[in-house]
Parts: sequence; structure tokens; C-alpha cells
Amino acid sequence: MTATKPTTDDDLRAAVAELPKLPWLAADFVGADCRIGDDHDGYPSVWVRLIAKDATVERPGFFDEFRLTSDRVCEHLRDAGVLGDRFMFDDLITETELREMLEDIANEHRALA
Amino acid sequence: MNIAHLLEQAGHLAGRQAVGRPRPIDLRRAVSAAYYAVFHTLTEAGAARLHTDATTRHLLSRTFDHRTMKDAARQFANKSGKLWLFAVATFGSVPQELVRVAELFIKLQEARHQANYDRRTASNFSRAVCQLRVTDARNLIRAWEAVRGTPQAQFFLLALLLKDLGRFAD
Repeated sequence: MTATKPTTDDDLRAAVAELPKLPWLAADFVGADCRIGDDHDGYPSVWVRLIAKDATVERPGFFDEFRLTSDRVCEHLRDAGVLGDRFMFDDLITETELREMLEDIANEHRALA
Repeated sequence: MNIAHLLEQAGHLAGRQAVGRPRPIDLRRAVSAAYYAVFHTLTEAGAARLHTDATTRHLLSRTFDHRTMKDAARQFANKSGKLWLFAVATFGSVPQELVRVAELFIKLQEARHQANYDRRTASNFSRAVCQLRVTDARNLIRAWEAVRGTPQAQFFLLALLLKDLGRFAD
């Protein structure tokens, strides 16, 4: 019998980082990252954030379509064996919004320094 | 509680029609309103299942507990646990729309917790994800309307209300 190598948080992070290379995501998303932890009730969870092109979210029907995209991402990570017993929460941000958010955080740090 | 108004408010606060960057507080309120639209949809349906008198229904709808609802929804979303197994054994199957209701409820509740209690700047919401949550709320209610008359959905309502139902679902 061959022992299955246990997956780690790093395996999950690596699989998420590779998501935008998938053909069915590449046209609309430029990046992906994740946060691993527990939800507010203590259940093991992962928040997978897809970084969308600005134009992507302007497309009519995009937010309805995204539910199926999220399902597919979850299946992909489960099939890759990296999700474990974590519940996958989806997160979404555009390139511009991400840049603005990082600026806000940097400004906050400068103000506190 | 007017569910349509809550959804309308959520959509307005998360709307892309506004000029410039939306205020973080407006996006947080959008997420919270989206969650409460689905919370009240389910609790009012659950109360109506148990009593026809309006005053009693209102009293019953206030007894629903967020944590109990989430624990029950988790079993349906994950297709595991005593409540899920009981539903499958009793009814033969569970409609996919009901699984979607459970999954979106968990996602919206977690987002609402972040919106109301996690004040860090890094936890601010993007407008994109707020629009997604509002869409999720609308889709949850649509899915619920499709299955609410089924015995599986009626069992789901009881599971949302009764904390210990799973203990007896063997």
C-alpha cells in the first residue's frame, strides 16, 4: 500500500496561485491568493480570492456566472486533493480595487508609524 | 420585514452606478443587508411553518439563532452529517437548489460577520465582492422559492430552528 502524502497549507496556497493559468479562468482573472484559517465559528476554512480584470466585472451577467466559476474552482482544488476538510469561501476583487486597498493599508501603516 | 427593500438597499449600497470609490462603511452595510434579506426570508418561512397567527409567527421568527442555522446549513452544504443523512434516508434525495440555499447562507453569514465585526482596513470589502454577495442573496431567495414547498425544505426549516434536532436524527 502506498501512503498518501498529506497536503499542507503551502500545497493549497500553491494550487490557488496557479488558478489563473487555467484556460477557463485566464481570460477574466489575472491573479489569485488565499487566506487559510477558521471561520467565525471555528470551522476550518479557506478564503480564495480571485483578482479580476476591471472589464470582467462590467460584463452583464458576470456575477450570476461567477457562482459556477466558484463551484468549478472548489471542485478543482478538491480534485487536486489540497482542500482537505476546509469549507471554501469565495472572494473577488478587481485589479484597480486591489491596488486601492493596498494603498489604503500602506497609508494606514504610515499614519500609525 | 420587507425583504425586497433589504435587497434593494443592499444593491444600492453596492451599486456600480455611483461615481468614485464607494465608502467602506456602505459596502459593509450592503453585505449586512444582503445577509439579513436571506435570514428573514428563512426565519419568516420557518415561523409560518409552525404557526398561522401573526403575533406568534413574529415571536417564533425571533427565536432563530444564527449559529444553529449555520450548523444545520453546513450539513446540507457539505452533504454530510446526521441531518443530511436523515433527509436523504427519509426523502430519498435532496434538491440541488436546497443545497445551494445552504451553501450561500453560510457564505453570506460569514461575510456579514466580517462586515459587522472585523474592523481592520485589510478586511474592507471590494465593490466586486459586495455585488457578488447581493447576487448571492437574490439567487438564494430564488432557489428557496423553487423548493420551499418540498418536504425536504420543510425539514430544513426545522433544522435551522431546532438546535438539537441532529441528535435525534438517527
